[in-house]
Amino acid sequence: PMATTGFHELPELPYGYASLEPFMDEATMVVHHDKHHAGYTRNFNAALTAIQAAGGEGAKICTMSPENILRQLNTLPITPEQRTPLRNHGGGYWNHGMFWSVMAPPKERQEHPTGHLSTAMANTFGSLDAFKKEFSKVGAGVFGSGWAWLVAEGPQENPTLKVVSTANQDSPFTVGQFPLLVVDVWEHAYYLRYQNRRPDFLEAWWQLVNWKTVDDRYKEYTGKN
Amino acid sequence: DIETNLTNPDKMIVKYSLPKLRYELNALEPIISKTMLDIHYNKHHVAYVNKLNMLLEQLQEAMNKGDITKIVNLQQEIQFNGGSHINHSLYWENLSPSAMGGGKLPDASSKFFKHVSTQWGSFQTLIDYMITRATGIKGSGWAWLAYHKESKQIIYEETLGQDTISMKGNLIPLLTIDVWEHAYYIDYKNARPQYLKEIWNIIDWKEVEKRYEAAIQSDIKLFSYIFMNQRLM
Repeated sequence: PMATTGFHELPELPYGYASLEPFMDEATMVVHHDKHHAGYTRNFNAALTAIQAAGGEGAKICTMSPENILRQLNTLPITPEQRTPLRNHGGGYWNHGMFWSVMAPPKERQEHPTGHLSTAMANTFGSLDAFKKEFSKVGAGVFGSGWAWLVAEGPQENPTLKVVSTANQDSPFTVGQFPLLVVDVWEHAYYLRYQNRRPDFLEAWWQLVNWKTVDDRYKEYTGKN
Repeated sequence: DIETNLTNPDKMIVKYSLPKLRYELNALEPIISKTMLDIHYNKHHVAYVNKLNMLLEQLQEAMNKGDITKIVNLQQEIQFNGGSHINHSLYWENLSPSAMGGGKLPDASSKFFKHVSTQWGSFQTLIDYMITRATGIKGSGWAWLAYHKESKQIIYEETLGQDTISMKGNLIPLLTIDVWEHAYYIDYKNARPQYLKEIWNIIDWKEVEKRYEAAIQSDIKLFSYIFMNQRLM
């Protein structure tokens, strides 16, 4: 696949295209990463290039991390016309990177949350199964294109955990939330194998979730090891 | 067909079903493959209609019981599934294979042709504009050509999700194109522009013209009456 370079690189998949079979098919992984994610990467870089060329205060955005761009999206010193592609393509760029990172080949993944995250989840949702049910319900209920998330919010010492959804490529960062886990429910994420059976996709997807990534992100948010 | 439960008038429930396609499932190839049309029509549209019927039953029950909370809670999903049924029905009706006239522009002497030419310059200009705009629809939605009752213009519009054109007020649908990924993914993957370029080969301009003629003739109420009874059976 053609490398997409610029301010931000298209991240390599952490595993082979066929490694998530049979839950996520190879063909989907190829198109999803090499076409969709690559497209967002190119368009994100193009948007930043245009902002840089326009000069002024906005140019410093080009040295910001994607997370910070999304966090500060609504207060960046740019025009609405400059903001929209950052929202869509910056969001698409970051969301897909996170999506790859929360999955792993079924036999190589950590199958449960541990430590502080495990405790927090039990306190919030009652059980892992209850959480999965809620998360799947939210994912299945997104009207059209979007994402379902587990996010942390509030004080580092004692964060609140929530299941939320966003439309299109919108990011929880933009509303002050910190993503821990995500699933893509745009049709392109599952269509070739599951067609309209999004609930079946979501059920299968749990076999791919690598809770190590989620643990690590929770540690990053709370500062606790 | 619409069934009504006439043995129990208190619980008269209208059941919607898919409009019959005027063409075979493979008739729109190679623009839309048999596989893709089959899944779109027999899986997606069927699911929307089944869900709509179920929701309307629940609505009827809630109304009978005077359960205002339930009545309110049902609205969003009714709008989604009902909108979807309307949108998809219009979509199937404005497609046809070339053998049945798909892709063939209206006669240059027709009112519709002249209106488009006067307002847009040419059909090609209109088509190119629709391709550009529909490509840019973020996420899931529909691209429309519509007749504006007040301005009497033929305009381009977009709806997101399964919102239908009537929700924008004063607009009568002439043509609609589905840009949800499920409408093109099997045949085109992420290449939505390619799908939008090809689809003009199977647009049934006769149907579009028929809708235009009905739109300019009468008021919205009469058109809706004709539309609802003929298209959604």
